[in-house]
Amino acid sequence: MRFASFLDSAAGRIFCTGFLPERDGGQQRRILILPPFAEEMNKSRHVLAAIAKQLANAGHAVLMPDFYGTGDSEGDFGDAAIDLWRRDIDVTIEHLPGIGDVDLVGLRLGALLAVDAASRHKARSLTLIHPVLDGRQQLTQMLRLRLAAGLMGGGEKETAAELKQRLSTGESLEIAGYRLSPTLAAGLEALALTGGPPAVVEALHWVECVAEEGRTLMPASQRVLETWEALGTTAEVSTVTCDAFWGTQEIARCPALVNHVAGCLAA
Amino acid sequence: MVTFEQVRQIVGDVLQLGNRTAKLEPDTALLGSIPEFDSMAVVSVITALEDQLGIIVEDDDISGETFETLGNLTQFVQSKL
Repeated sequence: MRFASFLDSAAGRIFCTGFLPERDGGQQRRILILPPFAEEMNKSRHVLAAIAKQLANAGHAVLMPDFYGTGDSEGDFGDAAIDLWRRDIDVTIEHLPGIGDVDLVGLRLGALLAVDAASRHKARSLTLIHPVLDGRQQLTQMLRLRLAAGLMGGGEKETAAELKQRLSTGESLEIAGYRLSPTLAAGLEALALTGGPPAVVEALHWVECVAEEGRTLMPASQRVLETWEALGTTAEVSTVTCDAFWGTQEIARCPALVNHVAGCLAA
Repeated sequence: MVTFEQVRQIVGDVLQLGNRTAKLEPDTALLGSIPEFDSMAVVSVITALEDQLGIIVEDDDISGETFETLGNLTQFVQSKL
C-alpha cells in the first residue's frame, strides 16, 4: 500500500511518501529512505520509489521524506538548512510504524545524512548508495553548475573563489533555479564521511554504481573504507552496473540496483 | 596516459549518447552543438572525469574553450595528469 502524508517538522510540514506491506506478517523492518541533493533528487525519485515499493512488497514499512524546502514539502529551498533536515529525519523516524531499530537507506547526500543520523538513532543497518564522501564536493558541484552556465551565456566570467566569497559574506546565490543560502552551504561543508565509521547493529552496506562490469570502487571511496576498517568497522562493499541515474540527462531506470538494495535488506 | 577514446567514452556515458558515442571525433564540437551538452552536462562530465580518471579540476581553469571540442577536452584532461 502506498500513501502520502504531511508531517509536522521543525520549520513547517514536510511531505512524506509511505509504502507498507499489503499484509501484516512477521519480522518487518522499519526503513527510512533518504533522497539526494537538489536536481539529483528529481532525477532519482522514481528509482527510490521503486526501491521503496520492492521493500514494502518484501514485508517492510518504508517512509521517504522530502526534506524541508525540497520536493512537495513546505518551505523554499533558499530557507533549507542541514539542521532542519536532521529534524525532518528524526520526525520521520518517529512516524515509522512498528517497533525496533531503524534501517537507513540513503542515496548520494542522503547517504551522508544517513551516517549522520546513525549518530543520533540506533540503526539496525545502513545502506549507502553511491555516497557523497564530503559535503564540500556537493557544494563544489553546485557552484560549478553556475560557472558552467556562465560558460554558455558568454557573460562575465565568475570564479569559484568569488562565489565562495559571496556566500561567506552572507549572500545567497541563485543556481540553476535553486537559491543556495550561506547557511545551507556551511551545513554542507560540515558534513563528511571521513569523521569515522557509523555504528550499526547488523550490517553496513556500501553500494557503488559503475558504468561497466568489472570496474572497482572510486579511489576516494576506497580511502574512506580503509579508514573505517582501521577503526574496526568493515562495510559490505558491492558494485552494481547501472547508469549514474541521479545525474543523467534522460531518466534512467536501474532494476539491477533496485534488486540489489532489496537484497541488502533481505538478510 | 589518458586517451581520446577514454574521454570520449566518459562523455558518451554521461550524455547517454549510445551508438552516437563512436561517431565523436577530436574535432567534434561539444558546447552549442550536441543538444544534450547543457550546463548540467558540463558539470556531470567534469565530475565523471574526476571520479574515473582520478584527476582534480580546479574550477577556475575551466573555460568555454575547454568544452569547445572533444579534442580540446582531451588535451585539458591530459594537462591535469
